[in-house]
Amino acid sequence: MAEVKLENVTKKFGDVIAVNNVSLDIKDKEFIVLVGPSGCGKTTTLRMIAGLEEITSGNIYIDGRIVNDVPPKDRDIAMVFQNYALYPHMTVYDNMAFGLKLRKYPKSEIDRRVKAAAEMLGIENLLKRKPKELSGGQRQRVALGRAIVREPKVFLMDEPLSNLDAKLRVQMRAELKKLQRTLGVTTIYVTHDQTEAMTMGDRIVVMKDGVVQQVDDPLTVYEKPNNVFVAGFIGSPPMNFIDATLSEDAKILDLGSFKLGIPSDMQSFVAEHAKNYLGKKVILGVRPEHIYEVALMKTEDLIPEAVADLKVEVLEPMGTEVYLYLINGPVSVVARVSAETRARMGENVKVMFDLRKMHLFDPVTQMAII
Amino acid sequence: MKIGRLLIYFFLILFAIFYLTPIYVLLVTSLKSFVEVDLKTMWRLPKTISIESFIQAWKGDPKRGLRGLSQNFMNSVYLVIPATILSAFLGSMNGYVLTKWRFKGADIIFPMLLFGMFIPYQSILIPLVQVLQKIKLYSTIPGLIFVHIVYGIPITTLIFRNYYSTIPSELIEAAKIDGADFVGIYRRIVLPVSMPAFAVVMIWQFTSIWNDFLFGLVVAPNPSVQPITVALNNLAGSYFVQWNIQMAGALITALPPLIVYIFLGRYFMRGLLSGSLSGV
Repeated sequence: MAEVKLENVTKKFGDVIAVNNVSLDIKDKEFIVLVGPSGCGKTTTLRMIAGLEEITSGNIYIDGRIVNDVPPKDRDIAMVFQNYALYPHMTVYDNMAFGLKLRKYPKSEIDRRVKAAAEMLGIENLLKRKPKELSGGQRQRVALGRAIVREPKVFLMDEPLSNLDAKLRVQMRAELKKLQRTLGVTTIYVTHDQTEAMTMGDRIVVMKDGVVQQVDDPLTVYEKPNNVFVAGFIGSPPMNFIDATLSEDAKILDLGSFKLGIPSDMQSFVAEHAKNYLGKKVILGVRPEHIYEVALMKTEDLIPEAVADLKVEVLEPMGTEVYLYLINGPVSVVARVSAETRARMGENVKVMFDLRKMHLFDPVTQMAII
Repeated sequence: MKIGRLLIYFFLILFAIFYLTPIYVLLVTSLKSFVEVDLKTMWRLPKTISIESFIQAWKGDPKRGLRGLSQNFMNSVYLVIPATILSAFLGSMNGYVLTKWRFKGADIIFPMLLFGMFIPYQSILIPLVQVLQKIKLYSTIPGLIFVHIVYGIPITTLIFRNYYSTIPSELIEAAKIDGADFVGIYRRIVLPVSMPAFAVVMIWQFTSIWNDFLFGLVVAPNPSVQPITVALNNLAGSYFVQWNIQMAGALITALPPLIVYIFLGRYFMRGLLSGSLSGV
């Protein structure tokens, strides 16, 4: 039950800057997810908060106290590791009780807490077993239990679900989130999986090369990405990026092999927000779900200027929907359409780009324009 | 295919017999009486089985000035047990620090420790004796223990370091967060999972300390503190050798390491493999 604050935190390993000037304000009871590709500094950031890694410069506060030089055991945190790191020679009970025993809690209190946590996690019947006798999911729960019994101010979780199989991961995702709500403990969660980040976090911190790219709630990150990296990282299949030229009058986007007309009610908005880009090159970003198959559309929704004819290269049925990999000259995009699609592999299909939901990025700085 | 199999067995058995012939001679000679021992009949089985030579080798024969091995056997026991245990623990602690609490210069210290393995013992005998004389441990069992502990450090450190590098460092970090300190982590986490490595190291150290001859010879000139390997050598008289007693003595000397290997050998193999295959 605490706020965590990072103030210009930097970590260097020799000449390599792993974490570059990161500042974060994590609120009490918040579930915050650090997400990014491997090597982006998210785990290092977490380990610095845990005290397992020294800070090169900057400050970390937990509950208002500077903890830069406080050893991990005195930071009042608990951590869940990717490989669970259960003590192999101890029973599940002892694994969970270990931290409390070292802190000299009375036996009755240890017993009460371990049993309560075990019940919460549904592992009461496993307390006498050793870790090697448990399945992956059960080990995961024990690792969580070990963190819970400590009743710490902050939970730190380093990709705790990535060693589970896909089905269990989805199940644990929901459970973990529910658990965090119930316990109300500030949680910092590291993952490389954008789905986990989207579904679990109250807020998401997207990182790349040690630098924070964006900190926002999941929907904002999805709908208003700060830059090309965030736009491409969050969402699956990822956003389509197309090199385009914006016309002087903000009416047309020239994609090279074809042109798209910007809807008339959008033109003044574009002219205002992208006024420095009129007549210049931009990167057009369109999410796959914002490319519609014309054959499946109602006529009143159709905007003929934004329709293009593309060839279906690959068709991936996903059950309720189908991913179409479309190509036309230099333009290649993925569209996510309903399973009723009439598109056939190798044939052309008419699609409409929903430019009301488009993103424009600066081709040099890669920052969002719209 | 079948023929190939047979050939393999044929050669394996052939080599096994070849390697076991000295043991055969050792065994049959030790069971013969002195009059029966002769170069011409060395391959023959004893006419009557006599354990007299074992008794003589163990107890000695004061009338003929023959020192028995019993006291030296116990010397070796008093030497090998503390030296094995202490050098194993030192290696374990070294391995723990070198893998889990890496300090600046660890990459220099470790090769330097290993370097100790490559120094021939013969080259350091004179300074060794001088040091032991200075610290008043020369010609004592504690002195021999000390020497074996020091010379055990490279190999025990190497084995433990390799074993501990398979223990995930998250385990140590989890214990740090749980509130354990340097000693606590060693005692409560590392030590309890070290048994396979301890098995390997202790078997190794037991055998090499028990079998050592050179240090025993040089560091313990006094017969009453000599280990059994040196005493065995002295069992042979100056003018003639009672081969049956000599062979019996050799068997007694070789027995403890043999027993250790027969009963603990599979732990030795398992320990050697456990690092590479399973980790923790």
